[in-house]
Amino acid sequence: MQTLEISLFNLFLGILLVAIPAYILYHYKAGLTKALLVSTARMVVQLFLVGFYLKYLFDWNNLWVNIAWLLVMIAVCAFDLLRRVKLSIKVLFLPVYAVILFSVSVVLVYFLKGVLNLENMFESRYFIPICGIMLGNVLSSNVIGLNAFYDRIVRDQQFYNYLLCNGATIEEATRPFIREALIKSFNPTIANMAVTGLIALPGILTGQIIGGSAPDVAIRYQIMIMVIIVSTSMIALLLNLTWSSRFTLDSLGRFCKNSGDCFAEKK
Amino acid sequence: MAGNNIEFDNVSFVFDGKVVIDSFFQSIPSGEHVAFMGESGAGKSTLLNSIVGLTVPDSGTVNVSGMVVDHTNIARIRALCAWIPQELSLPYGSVEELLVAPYSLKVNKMLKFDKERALSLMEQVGLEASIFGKRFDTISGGEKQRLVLISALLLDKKILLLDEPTSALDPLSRDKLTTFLKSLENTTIVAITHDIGFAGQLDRIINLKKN
Repeated sequence: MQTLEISLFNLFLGILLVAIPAYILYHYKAGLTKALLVSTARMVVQLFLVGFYLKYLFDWNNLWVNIAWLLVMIAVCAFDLLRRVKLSIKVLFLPVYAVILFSVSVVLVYFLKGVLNLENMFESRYFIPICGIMLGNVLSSNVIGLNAFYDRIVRDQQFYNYLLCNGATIEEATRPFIREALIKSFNPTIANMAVTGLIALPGILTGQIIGGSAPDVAIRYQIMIMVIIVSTSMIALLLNLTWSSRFTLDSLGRFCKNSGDCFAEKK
Repeated sequence: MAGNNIEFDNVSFVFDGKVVIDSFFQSIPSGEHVAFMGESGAGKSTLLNSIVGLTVPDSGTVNVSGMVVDHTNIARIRALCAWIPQELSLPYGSVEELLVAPYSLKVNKMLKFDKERALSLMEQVGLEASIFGKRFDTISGGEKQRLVLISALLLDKKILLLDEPTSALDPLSRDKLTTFLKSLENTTIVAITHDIGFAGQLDRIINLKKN
């Protein structure tokens, strides 16, 4: 099967479709028209840049370049995560970086070595896109989860203090907040998995089929990708909630909101 | 043996460059019932919270049961204490859940919830038995505070830290609670209060002045 190429002119025609949601947002004065247009422009530029550097990464197919790319991407992911959740980059960057590196590495080795049996697991064609999709989902799920956790800790600080000051360990006192963060973060993903194939065809599956893969091959990859995404995101979120969050506590178990160091912006 | 005493040794608190509490010395022997009184901003809550390490003095030390309140002792100190704030917004579904929940904590694993004792204590503090089946968010502030107090007593907490325990109570309930608290001879009680009638019933009043 040959993939139908999209010319630049046709791509432009396709992008024009954004005018419809932009008009709807404008009509209802949702205040999001500009954001939608800017985001669309950013997406186009970013994807063209990605396409540009991916071409070189695939051509080079070099172990060290690929590892360096992953380390840089994890740094970008950790930075963006903390910026979006409004947590202290100074306090949490290294713990969050370590958590993401660990989560991605564990699942990556399991999938590329254990499942795909790749001789060279750093082969660009597999290593780069799999890491990319993992990091994207770690970012989105952890933003939701950490926001839910810290927002609730700030809002219900009395409950946390009540548990702590009546004998609960830090692990026990944070457990209700961790539970809520996991639910908020993974409810949509789990619901999405349940209907995949029934009312929705995922982007990866669609992309692979359009790109010329046989449907049964595309479906197997899709299943693996979804499992990888959930596993990596869950490991990363749980470690960020249970381990990284300890860096926002002082020695008496108080969240350092008290001293304004860690998440002053959330007050 | 220090018992369940509390000592404030030359304790000072500074907030935003302002000295709120300056060189505070006070010794509360085991089993004594003490009221902290004083105008708002005098540092009553700051001192009460320092007993369980929710606030940390800028200088001086707080000692509980012979242990300095610091990271090495805080778990043991908190296991001895019950911290009962004035406004309780706890996300428990029912009264029973509030009372049973602490037994899942490691520190209380050896204890077992005693419903008969809970009902008896409820009667002593002026709570009807029917409250047991109610939703926690539907009962009044005064009822919540007394239930949390009962929860602490069921767990044999030796130090009770109460913030305005009578402020949400009618006179009859207040008298019942006061009589009940007075009967807890082996329990150290520190209560923040603006209620002079209640404070007068305790062993001692410590008046705090705003700096």
